[in-house]
Amino acid sequence: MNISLREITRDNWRECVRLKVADDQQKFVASNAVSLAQSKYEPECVPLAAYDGDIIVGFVMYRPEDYGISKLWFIDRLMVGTQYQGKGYGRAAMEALIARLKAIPGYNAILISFVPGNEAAEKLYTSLGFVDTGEIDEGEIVYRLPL
Amino acid sequence: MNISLRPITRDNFEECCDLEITEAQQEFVASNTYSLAESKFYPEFVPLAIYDGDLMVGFLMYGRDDLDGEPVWMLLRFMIDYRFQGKGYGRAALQLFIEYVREKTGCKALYTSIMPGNKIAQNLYSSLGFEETDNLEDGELVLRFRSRQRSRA
Repeated sequence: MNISLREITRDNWRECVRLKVADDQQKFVASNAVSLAQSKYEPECVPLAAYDGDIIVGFVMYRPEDYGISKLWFIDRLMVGTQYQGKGYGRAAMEALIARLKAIPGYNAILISFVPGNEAAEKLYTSLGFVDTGEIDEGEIVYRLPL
Repeated sequence: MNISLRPITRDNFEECCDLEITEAQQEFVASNTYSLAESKFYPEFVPLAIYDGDLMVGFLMYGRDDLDGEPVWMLLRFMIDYRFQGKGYGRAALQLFIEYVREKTGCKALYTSIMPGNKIAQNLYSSLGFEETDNLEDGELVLRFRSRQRSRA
């Protein structure tokens, strides 16, 4: 496995939109088309494609939030295409994203949220060092990784 | 009816993504979400929301294209939400769009394309002065708008 996070451009956005999660996971994450549309109108959102070599296997989107006294990253989306799940790509993509965000100075923490009942997300984030904040944001459980 | 065409912004893009056509029409036009995502990567494509007063009832997207070396306007997407269909919004919005594009400089002609079998669109376009051409693009029938007043044919 050779995971890299790459910019989404005119050349790979269609492939990115074609990447779907399984039917029973669609309640957990917005489609990549919605995320890309959102990133046009909320340009602080940064969408990235997760590649294994030259194959697009997943998608992430994050944004910075500046509260004055603390600056945070929010990871808004993480998905792995249904045909690529169960191979460790979700973890690898998260590790690559965390490394990328850690390299940018001045931020206190990374926040991520998930729909209650998404056990795969909960396990993955916990194993990466995220802890439950006890907060609920728009019905989602908020986890935090201090930087 | 008080039809206007307005830009899509941070404040109305989600509403635009929520507009839907009937299931049977989904083979004829891409979803608005897809179109808005596409317009991020093709900044020359201009998405506009169709409003009646303050109510968003539909969506269109146009862009500049090159047809046989001639720069033309291309109406790429055009939809009225299924809850607002059959009320004359499609015709009113299209008439407004034709006026809008006539006032823009840069291109002399307006084209659109439809899926074969999309009779409602075909009738609407033809009643407003679009004529069929011999061109097929990605399996779609290309129509050219000919102004009745300015026709020199």
